[in-house]
Amino acid sequence: MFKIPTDEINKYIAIEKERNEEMKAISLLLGADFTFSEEEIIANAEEQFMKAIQKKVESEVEKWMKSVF
Amino acid sequence: MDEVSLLIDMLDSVWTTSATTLQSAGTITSSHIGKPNIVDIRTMEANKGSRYDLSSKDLIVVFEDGQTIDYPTIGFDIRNESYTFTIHIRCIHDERAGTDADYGKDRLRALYLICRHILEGKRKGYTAADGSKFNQVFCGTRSESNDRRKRIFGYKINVETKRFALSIP
Repeated sequence: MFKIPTDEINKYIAIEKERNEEMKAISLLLGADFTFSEEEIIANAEEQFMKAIQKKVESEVEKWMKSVF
Repeated sequence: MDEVSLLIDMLDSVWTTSATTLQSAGTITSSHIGKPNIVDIRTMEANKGSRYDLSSKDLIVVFEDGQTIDYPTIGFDIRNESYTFTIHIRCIHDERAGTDADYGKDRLRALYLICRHILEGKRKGYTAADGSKFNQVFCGTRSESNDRRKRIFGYKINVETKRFALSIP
């Protein structure tokens, strides 16, 4: 049985927050606010998290299938 | 050059050709062919932005999401590389719109179509002036990312690129 890495969501939120800090710097250079809203940061992190989960599930199922057959 | 810079170089160098092609085909209008600011998220040096057209309120940011390497031969003497990126298009519905209520979404559509045209046009590979290359480029899924409060319209495009048979010294 595998564990769903729920703690990883914090990692993705941290990545998205870091990206947003960089977007702030770019926004200052370009003179327009292109930063992400809180909702976007969470949505982006969730999307990355779901991709990671999907990859993990696929990998675990593949291992299980190989062990069965 | 590094992979993010290579993808940006590809978008930047082919932009005008793709935009003109789509305009000639009637897919987009002439008001939407302008090149946006295409930036590497890591570009934070002071005054780096001065080389961009600051009047353009459109931004394409390229993020690298991940890289995988595999060694497909028995001798482990060559390497295949895969890279995944997110191309984040953001455009502002601003004074350029005038009385056109659909300006923002039309501009976003045009920016997406031009990006896709470039990516699909280079699906069999792209080589930069310095010799850096991708052997394959895949345009992947698209998701919306709008911020109505700031009047920003956005799309995220997943892109995968591959390099094959790189010799290991």
